[in-house]
Amino acid sequence: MTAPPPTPTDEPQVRTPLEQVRQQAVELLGELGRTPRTLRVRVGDTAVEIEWPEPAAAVAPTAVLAGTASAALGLESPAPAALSQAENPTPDGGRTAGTPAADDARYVTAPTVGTFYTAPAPGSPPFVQVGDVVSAGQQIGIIEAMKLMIPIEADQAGRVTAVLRVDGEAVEYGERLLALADGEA
Amino acid sequence: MRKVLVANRGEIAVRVLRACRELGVRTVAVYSTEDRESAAVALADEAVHIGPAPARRSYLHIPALIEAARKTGADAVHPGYGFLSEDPDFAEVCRDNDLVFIGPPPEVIAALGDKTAARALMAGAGMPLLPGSLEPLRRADQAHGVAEAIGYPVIIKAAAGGGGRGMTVVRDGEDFVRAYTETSANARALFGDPRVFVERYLPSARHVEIQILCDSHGGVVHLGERDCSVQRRHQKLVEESPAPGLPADLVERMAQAAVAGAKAAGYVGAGTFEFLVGPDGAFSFMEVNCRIQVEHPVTELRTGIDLVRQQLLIAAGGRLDFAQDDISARGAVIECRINVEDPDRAFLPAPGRLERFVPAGGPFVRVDTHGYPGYRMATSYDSLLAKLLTWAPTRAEALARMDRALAEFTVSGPGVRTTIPFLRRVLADEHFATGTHDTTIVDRLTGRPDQR
Repeated sequence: MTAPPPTPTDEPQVRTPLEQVRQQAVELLGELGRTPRTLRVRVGDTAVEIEWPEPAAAVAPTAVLAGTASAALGLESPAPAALSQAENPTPDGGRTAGTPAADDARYVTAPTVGTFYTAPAPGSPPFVQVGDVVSAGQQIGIIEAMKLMIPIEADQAGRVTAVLRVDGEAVEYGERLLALADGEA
Repeated sequence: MRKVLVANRGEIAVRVLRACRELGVRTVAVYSTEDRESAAVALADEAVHIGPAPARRSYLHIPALIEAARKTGADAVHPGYGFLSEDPDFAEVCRDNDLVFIGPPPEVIAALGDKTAARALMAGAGMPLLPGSLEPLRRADQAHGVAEAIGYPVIIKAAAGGGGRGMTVVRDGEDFVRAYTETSANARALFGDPRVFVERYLPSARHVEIQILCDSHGGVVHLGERDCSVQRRHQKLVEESPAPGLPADLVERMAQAAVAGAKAAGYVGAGTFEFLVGPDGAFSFMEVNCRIQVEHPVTELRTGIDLVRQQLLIAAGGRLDFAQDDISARGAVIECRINVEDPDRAFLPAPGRLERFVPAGGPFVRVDTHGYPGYRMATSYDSLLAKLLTWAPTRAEALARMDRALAEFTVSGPGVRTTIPFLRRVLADEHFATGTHDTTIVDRLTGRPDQR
């Protein structure tokens, strides 16, 4: 099998429990029959949290999406292709663990198709900004897929050099969300 | 319907994209990481990367598909075959998200997908069934009693089964209880549903199916039969129409039964009623396939009706614009499935990069494929590379044409093997050539008993 180069969030450990939690959340929502302000389902370390700031806001992402031209969203340069470009040009073959360079950026990529949010709620400050130092496991954004909010975490520590997608943008699986450079605080 | 998302891959994704394009409907392909170089991605107006190679996280992952449709503004979803094509939950989620699911309503898929419920429904519609249980058999002793009453051999089938999986043939009563326990456990593992039922097994039978089309206004027609008796472990290798040697009045009775069954089920869309025809010429209902089938081009070449186009028109709310009497089947059609498998090594998958890929051509030849020179055959999915079809006025001419086309068809690359040489052996088989073969033909040719 021609496996793609390992991408940071390619196999999140929470995947299977997350699917179960997500299922529970969907069922719970269905049984409620109305939209709550907050829904939080947690099993062990895995949790799904959904907040509806106000009733109208729940439909807003759909409206935003309907108007986006997907051609502009990276179909010309799919993320995996770009990823391999980033990983291949190490002519000396070294895995460059301790040799930071300008094009040595690492990326946090989208674990699923959906809408990317940089902040926990509209108007809130973003999870991270350029220049921030993040630790492994730190939440850097949210992807909404089918009305479920999936927390996106950095898989490794680093300094944020770019936030590559804007708040509310539709993303595909594997698309780069955040660029990280080596950089202890 | 302005933009269709094709929730599938491989040759069927290409097939659906072509039908959309001919209708002037815009298209969205979805792809996993392993399929990013696929023909479907190249052919579609837009493409969305929905997940990594494992189907569970891409082609079977409903949220990713729905989000891809939302992202691109698609208003309909074609599920192809396999994957989510017969998943009532997916059909329902599509409906809940204002997406037209191009297939039967979820309620119909659910009713017909449960084989025991489908048997009961079809028995009520007057359909002949093999002797067996109409209800799932929840206890081994109860099932054993049914098997004893039917007489051996019997076949134990998963109620939720399909695609040739979840079945066990029992030839001797002493083996029954163990086989029952195993089949039920397998059914639980494969389908999440341990319920099984028992029916008589016909060791030497013909597998014949009837294609139907139903619009959402009560219009129902059939498009004749396909014979799919050349199978290996319940996987079809060669299909044809007409069914050789079957009396016309028998085919007509099967077709009428399928039309009555479709009406009883409230069917909408393209579907297939599968039957077994025993050595005595009696036919029995097996199951309904609520999807476009791999072998649908056989019927297209014989009737001149584009089934995928009809699926799209029906899903858009249209009425069938032809009546039963307008449909005429002409000549004979053969289809061979070219898989990247090694027939000399128990049909193990033998994929790789297709350094040479030269499909057959010429008069009355059709090739449905997602292959192209340089294509690296994906390894995470099934091994079907191409469907090769020939038409001719008579079966003998269609077979000769098929052998010619198979000889032309060139596929090679490091580690790549295909079923082409084996298919030519099937064509050369005396029983097949005379149309007197049955579902045991592949075992005979490979000298290997079918271990179900």
